[in-house]
Amino acid sequence: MQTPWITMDYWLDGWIIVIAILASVSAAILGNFLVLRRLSLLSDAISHSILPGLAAAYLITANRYSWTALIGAIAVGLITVWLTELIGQYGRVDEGASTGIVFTGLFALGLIMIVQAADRVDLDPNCVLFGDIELSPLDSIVTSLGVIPRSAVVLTVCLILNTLFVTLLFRLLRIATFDPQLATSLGVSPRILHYALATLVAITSVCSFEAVGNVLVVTMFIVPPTIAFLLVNRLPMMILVSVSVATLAAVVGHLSAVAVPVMFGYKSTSTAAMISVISGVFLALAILFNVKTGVIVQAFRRTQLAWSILRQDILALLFRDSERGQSARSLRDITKTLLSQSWITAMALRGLVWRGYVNRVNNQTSSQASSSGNSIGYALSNDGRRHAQNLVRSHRLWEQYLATTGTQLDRIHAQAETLEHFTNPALRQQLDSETQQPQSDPHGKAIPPEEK
Amino acid sequence: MILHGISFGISFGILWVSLSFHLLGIAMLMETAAVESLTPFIFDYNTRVVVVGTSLLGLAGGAIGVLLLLRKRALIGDAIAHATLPGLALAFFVATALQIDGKSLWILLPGAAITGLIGAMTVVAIRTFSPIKEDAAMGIVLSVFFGAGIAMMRIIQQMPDGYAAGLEGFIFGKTASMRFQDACLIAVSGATVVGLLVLFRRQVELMCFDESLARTQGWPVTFVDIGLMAATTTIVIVGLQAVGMILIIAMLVIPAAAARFWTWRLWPTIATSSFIGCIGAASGAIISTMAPRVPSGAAIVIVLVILFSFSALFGRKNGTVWRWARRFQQRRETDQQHLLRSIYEWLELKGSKPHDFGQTRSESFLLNDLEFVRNWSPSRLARTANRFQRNGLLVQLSQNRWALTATGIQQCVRAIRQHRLLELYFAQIANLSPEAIDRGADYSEHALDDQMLAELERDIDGASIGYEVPESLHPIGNIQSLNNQSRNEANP
Repeated sequence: MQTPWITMDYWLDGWIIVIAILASVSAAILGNFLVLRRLSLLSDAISHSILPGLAAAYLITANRYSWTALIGAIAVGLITVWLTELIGQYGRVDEGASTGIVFTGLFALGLIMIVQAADRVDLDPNCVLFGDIELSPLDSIVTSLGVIPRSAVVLTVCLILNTLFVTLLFRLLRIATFDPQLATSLGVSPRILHYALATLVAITSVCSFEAVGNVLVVTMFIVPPTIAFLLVNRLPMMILVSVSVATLAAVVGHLSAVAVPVMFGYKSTSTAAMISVISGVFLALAILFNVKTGVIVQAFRRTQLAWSILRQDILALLFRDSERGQSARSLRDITKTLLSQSWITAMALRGLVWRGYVNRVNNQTSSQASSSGNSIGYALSNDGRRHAQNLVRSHRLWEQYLATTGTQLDRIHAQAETLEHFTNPALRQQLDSETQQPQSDPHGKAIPPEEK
Repeated sequence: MILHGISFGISFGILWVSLSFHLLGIAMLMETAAVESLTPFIFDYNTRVVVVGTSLLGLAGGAIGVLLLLRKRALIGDAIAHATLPGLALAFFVATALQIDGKSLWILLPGAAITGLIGAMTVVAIRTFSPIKEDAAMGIVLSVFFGAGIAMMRIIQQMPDGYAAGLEGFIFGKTASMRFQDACLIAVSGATVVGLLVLFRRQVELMCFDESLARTQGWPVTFVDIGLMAATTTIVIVGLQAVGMILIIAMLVIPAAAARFWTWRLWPTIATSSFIGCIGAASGAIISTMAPRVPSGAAIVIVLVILFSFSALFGRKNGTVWRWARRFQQRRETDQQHLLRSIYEWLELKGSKPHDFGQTRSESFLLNDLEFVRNWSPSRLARTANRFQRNGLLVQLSQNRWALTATGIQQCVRAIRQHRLLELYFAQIANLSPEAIDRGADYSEHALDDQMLAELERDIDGASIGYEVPESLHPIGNIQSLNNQSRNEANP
């Protein structure tokens, strides 16, 4: 296939990017509600099942953009939703399965219509799936503003329609999305909104059909809103973020479609497909690194917490040692006592030494026979002692408090062991006054005073 | 019990037959000369390969589809199918780089299987490790993987010698390219899948209906689930050639959903689903070979949809026609009881209520007068009355004058007793207004059988009622005519 450019052509590439942005943003605006209402697959179903409507319109008018195409697509879109409900209700299957039956059936019908009419209609079945955005600027109309691609005009109208729908009915949509029962009791039928949403999804699919086809439009409906869903909490913000992500993905997608294959010695590839891939990459980044639930972010936080707990446990252990008059302990002892692994303990100790909480000392006074081979020991510094004292104070205050609340004595140590890591001075103060400033814990150990 | 045993026996029989049919299919293709003399088909060898191959695919797809449907994972097949495209393209790249024939199925299908499985795993991973819901996860995997595939296909198209021609057949399916080895591949993988299904039938059964029980009994549900995904991927990739990746999901979902209209038991459903899948795939393949411009995938799906519609209309379980017939029958019975009751109430109002002993014919009444007690159109009244006359419940004395026969009186008294006993019962258990009691009894009286009637009589102090018809708790007449009456009384 002859690609329409070799290097960047500002008129052509400019319009491709504009068309891609218009299609992505129109879809993303509606997609927010699809994702939140768990109707993501509705976009897949409708974008497939509009095919017979479009094919019939092509056969009648031999024109890609016509009112007939729009009406046909809307009709088939609504039929899809209705049939899906019907089959789900009477066939006792879940919504996914009934969707699968309806859209494959309608798509197959449309496919046969297109192939049968291939002589009369210029429509390649493959383009149905991924569109032909590179050629769409070539089909342009002359307006008072200059020569504008037909797709751009159609998609602008579609974008305006979707924006109006979402802004004018914003309150209703929000209630129906988050609290369908409340919406029903306020007299708004979620079912009517469902059908309205389906109609607009059908219109958007038709308008972006030539540019991105019916599989890749699903990306535009679902992926930017999902990214926004991961990043922000409020609906207006989510819509704004999804629109920005859609725009960014369209621009980066087209640039990479032109640039990436050239690196491997080929000409450019499909813009619509690359927008889909780039959106997927953005989504992967959002899943891994978003602040709230990012997989890597969470793993990092968990590791941090685990390290800090281990360091605190070492400090508390050394403090208890010093209460018994033992000044230092070897790495091996610490590892064995805390049921850790030696390299992990070593790392934690290195962190403590670096922070100045622990000093390395020559361990001549070790009383442990097992550590005689290793003469290096670790002892608390003054800073470390202060931290450790507060930790042990937290632990023993918690034990005292738990004992006064009636917890069994053999359970208080384990609970205090967890709680001590999450106790700040204010909470210690409160525990202290709740337990009438005790001098010792239930096991008879002295509770050390608070260190500033 | 015996019936269940027989139905299980039959459905396992069908499964085993399907298993051996897979192997038989291969034999049928090998022994060309022998089969040619026996086969009733008039098709040539190539067509026979295609028909046998696709029908085996339908058989296995129908079986595995039921499990996907019951696990509510139907559309994961769609995600897997779309995710095979980048695998096909990558395998082609690798093969070309290594200077091997990139169109060989032994290169392409493993590639497709790898990315297909990665797609399925990605859906599970997204659902597990992020707050994204399953439906969005499937849509994402489906469209993004497909996009990656399309991007690579566009580059393959630019490679010399027009290599991509072979790959595009996988998108919409191209049975014409199916060869003997491909049919064998389908037969072997189908037999493996069905065989594993039979082997692990207890685990599968338990997992479909009570996952928690399966877990507590120590079955590795996660592994069985992964096995199910692997089986689905297998069916999808061997079906790519016949049906194409866009429509292969139909072979999994439609037969299974159609079978649900015939039976609700697991193994009979699997057998029915396999049967429907087999018939649909074979007829679709035949249609597409006869009409060369019809893509085979689309033809198969259309036939399957027709079979589904037939099942939805005429299926013994919840089929639309039977449902409508039952509803029609019920409405007729309800109408009958309502009219009989109205006749009694009207005659009672006139002071000549019928007795079901010693009276061979009731006092006569005008059909139009019944409109006072029941708000029916004259034509509906006439229609029901005519049916009563045919059944010997009513007798027409003159143009508009009717009377109950002895049988009619009996049934009429029975209907009114049911209604009034229920009213009494409702009045006793709930402090409702007379209108509400009347309406409640109106709805539920038709479901009363003799035993419940006897219970009612006992509960409502039967001694005082005996076999008499109790008095009505509320004024007789429909609300509209009562309103008119009271207005007339107020302003004479």
